[in-house]
Amino acid sequence: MDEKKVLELSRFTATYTEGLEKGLLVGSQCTNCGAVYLPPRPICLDCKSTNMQLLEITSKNGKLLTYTIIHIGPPQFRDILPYVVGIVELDSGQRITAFIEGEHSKLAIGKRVELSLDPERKGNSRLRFRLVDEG
Amino acid sequence: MGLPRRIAIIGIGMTKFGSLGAVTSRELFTEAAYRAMLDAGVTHKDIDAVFVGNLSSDVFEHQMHLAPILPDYLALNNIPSTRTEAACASGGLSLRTAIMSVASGFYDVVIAGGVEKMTNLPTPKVTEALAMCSDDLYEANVGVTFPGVFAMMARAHMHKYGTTSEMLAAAAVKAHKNALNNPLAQFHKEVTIDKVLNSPMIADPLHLYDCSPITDGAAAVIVTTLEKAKEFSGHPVEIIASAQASDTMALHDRSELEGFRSTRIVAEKAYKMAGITPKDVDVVEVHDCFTIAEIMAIEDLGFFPKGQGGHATLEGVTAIDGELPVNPSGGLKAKGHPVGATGISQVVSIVEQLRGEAGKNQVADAEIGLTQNIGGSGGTQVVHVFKKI
Repeated sequence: MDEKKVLELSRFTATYTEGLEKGLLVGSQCTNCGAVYLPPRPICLDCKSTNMQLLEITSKNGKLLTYTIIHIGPPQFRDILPYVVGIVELDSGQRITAFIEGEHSKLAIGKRVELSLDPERKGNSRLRFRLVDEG
Repeated sequence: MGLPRRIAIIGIGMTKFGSLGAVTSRELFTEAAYRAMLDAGVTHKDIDAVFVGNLSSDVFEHQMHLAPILPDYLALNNIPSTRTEAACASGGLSLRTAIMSVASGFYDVVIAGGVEKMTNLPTPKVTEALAMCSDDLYEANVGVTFPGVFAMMARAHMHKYGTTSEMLAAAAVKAHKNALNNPLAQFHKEVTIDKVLNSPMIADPLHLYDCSPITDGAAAVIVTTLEKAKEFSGHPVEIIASAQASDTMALHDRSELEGFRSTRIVAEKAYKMAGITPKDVDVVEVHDCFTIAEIMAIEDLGFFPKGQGGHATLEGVTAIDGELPVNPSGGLKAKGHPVGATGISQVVSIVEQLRGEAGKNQVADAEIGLTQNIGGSGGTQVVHVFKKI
């Protein structure tokens, strides 16, 4: 691995955060085996290649794999209690943890969600998905 | 592969667990370690080194560099002291580090302990500190709390296997019942399934009584070789396996949400090292930081098929007089969970069981015991197996 590549390995977490601030989901793709990671990783979990390219994850829809309604939370989120967090699987296959917006009574595993970044929050805390009304 | 030198625990000590007021980590650790020294029949000059599991004296007591304070306060002078931190598995890791140091021949007699003084801070600040044990970048930043991680696993487990809130509550009811006979436990109060289900929601579907409490306390054991143990009066119990594994920090990076792959990996390593199968285990102390964690642990450790842990708990299979007694001490749930001390306190309970000194909570004919200590949401797993001599 050359020096430039070693330096690139340490820029993935900041790039992810900067992406959210621009309204983008930034992941990385292994150019060796094609695996895509969100959040981005510098080394492929499958083939261990460091030939990783940052890319925008264009999939904005997915489903809820699991969730919880938080009733006791840390001081920085006290203003929004009770709030929902969950793990979303995007239609392109990546999984990510995020705030979930929507009526609590409509929450269920498998429900469709869409990306809805929260401009009021900073950095990684902007990541939010909204329950899609399925009629 | 077994250990290069056979290892024994020859002394155990614990403080009362609970909300202990104006007392410091150094005092709690000293009390537990001194009790362990007396129990083992060792004196100051016998101790080669100290290992201490501690999550965060930094946040809880505004004290970093905790390790040297402990031998100083114990009057062990200049001997080496090392702090291990692996979230709630800090204690288990302290024992494992101690075992490696003695099994390798580096030391002969060491103290492996753990301590946490948590109640100095208000609950929201403790919640914030514990949330740092999840992935701060990708979990805590989107509002995930520590109960929140286990709540998401609980919901996935319920969805896939039909586990119910009553089954989770049954683990809490058993824990409180067992703690009644443990004089050092934080709670001495029975609860019912209804009481658990009617307690306030913390992170849906986990109620207050599904969660382990905020606790102060310390525990310590004296580790030496089986050979060297003969020189001391303490009643030895052999450690026949020590195993550790890691997993991804963030839950979303795992293919399975209904259990811990890391538990299965570490259990397999431990059973192989001990030369046993899950059927050989007579008594276990598992990491029930939340009721769902106990259900998943008894499945992933190979005691019950996936999805059957809740049924077994509800039916009393894991009670003290059941087929496989789980957490006869009261567990993290009712004995208390002073994070860094927990892993060692589990070991203290199993050693008592294998010595036949567990009083009213004694499991009949206990010969092989196991402890499982989870760090965070499974990022670290530590399992130890013990054998009666």
